[in-house]
Amino acid sequence: MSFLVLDNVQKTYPDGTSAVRGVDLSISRGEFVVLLGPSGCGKTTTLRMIAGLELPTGGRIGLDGRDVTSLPPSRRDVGFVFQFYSLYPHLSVRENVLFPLRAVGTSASELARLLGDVVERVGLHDLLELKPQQLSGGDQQRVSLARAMVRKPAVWLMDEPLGTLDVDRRLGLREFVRQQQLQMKVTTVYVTHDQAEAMSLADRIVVMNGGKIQQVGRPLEVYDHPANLFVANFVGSPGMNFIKGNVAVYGETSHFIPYGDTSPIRLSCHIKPGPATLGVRGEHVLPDPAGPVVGKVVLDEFMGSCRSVHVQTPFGKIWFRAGPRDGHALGSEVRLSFNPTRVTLFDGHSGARVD
Amino acid sequence: MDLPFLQLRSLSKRFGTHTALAGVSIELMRDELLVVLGPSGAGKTTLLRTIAGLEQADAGEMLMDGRDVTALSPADRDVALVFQNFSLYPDRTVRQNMEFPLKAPGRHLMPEQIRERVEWAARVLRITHLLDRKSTRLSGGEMQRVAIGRAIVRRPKLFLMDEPLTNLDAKLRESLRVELVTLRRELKTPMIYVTHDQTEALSMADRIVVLSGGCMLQTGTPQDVYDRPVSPLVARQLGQPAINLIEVTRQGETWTTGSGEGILSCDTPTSSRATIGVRPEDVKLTGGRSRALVRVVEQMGATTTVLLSWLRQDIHAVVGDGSDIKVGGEVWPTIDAGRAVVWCEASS
Repeated sequence: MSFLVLDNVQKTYPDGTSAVRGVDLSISRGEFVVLLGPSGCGKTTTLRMIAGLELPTGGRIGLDGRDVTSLPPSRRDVGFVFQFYSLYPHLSVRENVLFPLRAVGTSASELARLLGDVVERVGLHDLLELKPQQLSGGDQQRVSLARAMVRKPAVWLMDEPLGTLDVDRRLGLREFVRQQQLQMKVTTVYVTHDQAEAMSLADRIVVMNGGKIQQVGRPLEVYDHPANLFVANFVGSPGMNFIKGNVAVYGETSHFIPYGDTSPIRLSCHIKPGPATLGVRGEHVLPDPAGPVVGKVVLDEFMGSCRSVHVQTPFGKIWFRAGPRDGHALGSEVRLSFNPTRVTLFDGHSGARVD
Repeated sequence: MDLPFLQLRSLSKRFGTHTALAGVSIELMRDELLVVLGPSGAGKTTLLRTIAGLEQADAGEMLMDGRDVTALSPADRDVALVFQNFSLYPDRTVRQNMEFPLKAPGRHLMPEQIRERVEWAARVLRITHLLDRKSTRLSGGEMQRVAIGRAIVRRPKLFLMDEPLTNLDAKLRESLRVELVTLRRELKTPMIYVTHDQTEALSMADRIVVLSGGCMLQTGTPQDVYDRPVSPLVARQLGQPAINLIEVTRQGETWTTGSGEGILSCDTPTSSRATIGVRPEDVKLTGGRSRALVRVVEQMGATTTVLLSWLRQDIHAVVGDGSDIKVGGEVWPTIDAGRAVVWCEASS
């Protein structure tokens, strides 16, 4: 049964700007859902409406069977973590972490147990007696995460809590957030613009753009079967390659013919003829001496464990993923082929996936 | 032999008792993108400001085109600096913002020349359609493009970039990163790019300088620094997830972990202790003799990141296809011995 339900939720500001244009979402108890999208897509506004920090101008929000649409934040039982830490400056780290627990009258032995647990996980040992202003930004954010995650409200709401941290710290805290959530089984809605963070944390990802949901699905579902061109480009780093063309059917099989080319690419599924865009991820583009696409290398990005090689072709720029020691000289010619079982087709007009 | 465009020789700078730069020596070639990588407080920004002439070094010298510029004012150095914060004039249009550096006293450009340069820069950065818009009406990515435009209209001899992409969305950062590298190459102007982001450092740099506490720890191509880091500290700065560090002692001819597992043969018989660095992509999940517990599995799309409890510590592995790996399951990992880095502790 759905635990948190958004039913056609909308937010239009008095100046007429529409931030959220009818969001429908239902989240199960204990689920970890990530709202993913670029700045201005409505993800933070949606989160703030769930928290009660903003009131929707249309639609309903239900939590655990109750209509909470117009309830104040204090009556919703939500735990909120912002991008910018907000600790009590006059309290030590220990007291900051314990504050929400003391407020609900937790027993001393339970306080000690929870503190020990969270201190261990977040690595706060040496900081417990310090005041917030004695900590670095990263440490302050760790403390505010710890404070939010010792308590067990109905929902945890997180607005880019790792956004301001160094990469090294971010990864460790990401694992902390996920492990703590799995252990405490608190339903979580987490907002980010970072697709890698979304992939790694989410049970389900909600991709948003222009105040609307573009797709809801498990991380690999969204990655492998994006609902439209926007999702295909936004998820993945870099995003999917696109080639514009036409689908034609010869006999029983569908073929894709790129614009300005005559050699059809055989498709493994049946698709109606018409204008289309072929999408293929960089790891399914392969250098192949007999490949149908030829181009010149314009950029070879070393990424550590792999390389992103960008090639200028008659169909536009195409990137492929290469081995870390498999460098390509600028200007060199490569031929490419696509793994035909891993291509995706999008409607030439609407951009929606059609395969 | 090609002479370096910029030579920094033992630059030092102190603020009170704090040492910001401790003898930094860098050579930048005429057509090179050098990335200075380091955590906050490493001295990166001070280094850029010193090169720009906004700070005076306490010691050391700086040569540009073979000429000593250590005492020159910022204006006489002909360098362009782009900051993390876009710092545009809010009440002016994009065009006015980009014209501004060309109208500075001392530059004697005709209005026609100014217009040409601004329109050229706008074309290069694909912001022509924004030229008449107020800068407050721009998105973050557009603002940063304008800030870069303002730097390139002057056609300076050197670009200095101070984390210019840090405040932008991940997706935008990715595309602007590619644009900046391509743009710099077209302009054939050298660039020093400061960042704490290892992805930017690896993917953009011709060479990386790793800076920490005002000291240069290592200089080399991205692949060099990634494959052969001089110390665990440098190794941790590059790679995501970070490199696994394993403390070992020598038992006969084998490096052995605290949990008693021999993981690598030892060919430096003079040391008794070492730290072994293993990149997550060099950890395989099968074929080993000691068991590991799977704690976290992250399906990242093209790869899967796995956090293991192995050898009584946390070990990260990155594998291609991880669809059969389950949290709570067991695996029997091995490490790619040819790729491991060993830092021996000096024998006392």
